[in-house]
Amino acid sequence: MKGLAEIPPSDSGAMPDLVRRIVSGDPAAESELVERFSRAVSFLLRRLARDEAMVEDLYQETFRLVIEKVRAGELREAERLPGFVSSMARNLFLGSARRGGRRQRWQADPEAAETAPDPAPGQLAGLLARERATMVRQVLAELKNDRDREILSRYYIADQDKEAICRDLELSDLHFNRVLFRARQRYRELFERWQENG
Amino acid sequence: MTAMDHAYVEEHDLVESYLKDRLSESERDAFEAHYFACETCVEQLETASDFREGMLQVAAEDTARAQAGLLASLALLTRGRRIALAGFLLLLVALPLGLLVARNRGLERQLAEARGTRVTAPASAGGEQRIASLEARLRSLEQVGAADRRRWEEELAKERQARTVAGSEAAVPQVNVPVFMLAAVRSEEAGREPVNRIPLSAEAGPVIFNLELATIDYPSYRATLRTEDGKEIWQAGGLRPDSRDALVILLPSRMLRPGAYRLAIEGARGNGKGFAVAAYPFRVIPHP
Repeated sequence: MKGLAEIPPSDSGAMPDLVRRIVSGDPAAESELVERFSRAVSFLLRRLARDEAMVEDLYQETFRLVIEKVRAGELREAERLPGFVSSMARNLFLGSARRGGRRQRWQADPEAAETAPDPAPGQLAGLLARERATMVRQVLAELKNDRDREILSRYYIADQDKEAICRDLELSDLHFNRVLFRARQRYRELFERWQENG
Repeated sequence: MTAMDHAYVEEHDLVESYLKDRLSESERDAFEAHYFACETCVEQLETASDFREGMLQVAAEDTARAQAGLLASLALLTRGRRIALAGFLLLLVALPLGLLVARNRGLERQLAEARGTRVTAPASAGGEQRIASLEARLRSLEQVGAADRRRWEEELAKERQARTVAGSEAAVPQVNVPVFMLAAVRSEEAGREPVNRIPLSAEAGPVIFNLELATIDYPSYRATLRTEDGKEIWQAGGLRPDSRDALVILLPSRMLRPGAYRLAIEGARGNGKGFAVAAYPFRVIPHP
């Protein structure tokens, strides 16, 4: 695991300035807001929604509403901007799910349904899934022993609790964390190399 | 928990707990507020989430490969070997029955000998006891043998019937498969007639149930089908709604005799706990 000294604190100190600039009508600040939260909003929405078109819609809607509300001065505590953005994304998703998502909109508008994208995973998603599996296989093959492979299988595939795995295999917390951390670290290296070569 | 920093995140292993949906609502909201301002956390989340997906993909590929391998190896067997395999399996079933028959015959022989001895010479008290004991054993073995045979015959008949039905339902393309959109109920009153009515003819093949979920708040779902008297007749876990937030379930109609049923859907968290999400009571009525 990373030592505490290496880990940057959450960057809430910069938020009041960003909010002040948006309120004063600075377009560069709005772009900065999108850039700053883009990755996190995408990650959260992909966890919540399954089809990519829905993620895309909610992503746009989240930033549209956040900027609109910040401009209007509706965010009273500027340092809470990250929580405000995350809640906005989650609430939009829940609202969309309650309304029946895109389907209901298409039922009301048959023309939109004709141009609606196929929600099934596309070729790119399939390719990514296969690459991911190949890299995970490499990580598993490089592990020193079967016990470490068993730890990962139990934790990720059988969805067992860390405590139960440690108890069954007579492991310390530290050993467990180390196996997970090294596996993920190695996966990240392989993924970055794949991205560079791809 | 409002102010959250990395020390807290690391110490409590929040990245993995978050991905496994094991945080309380307030912890989850606080962690989301934290990682929205923290590139390092987002990066850790992306990596851990990707790795988890990859592990599941590997498991799925391995399972599919193992199943395909088994089928392929059966298909590759020559006709002779398939017959030999069938013969071997038959032998496994027949051997215990054969032993039982042989044992019966041995006992019958002993009994006949004992009876013969009684005719030629006055039986002693010990001889009478032996005869009675042998007769009792023979009767009990005959009963056991008959019961076993009945059980095997029933199993065989069931298996043949299941194979015939499964073959006719799965192997042949079917047209106009009955599809029912089941309406969920929020609260159920005992004795109230189910709102969903499913007319099914005796010779119907499979039926499809479409269950719309109001919200998607769980990583997976569990479906349990029970009869009116609460007897569970089917259950499946790890279900994921399709892109229209619906669970589409195909059931063989032979599971659905006329009567009232309750199909319950529970949301499942990572810790395996189920939370009631929706109930779809329905009644199967005979359709001419």
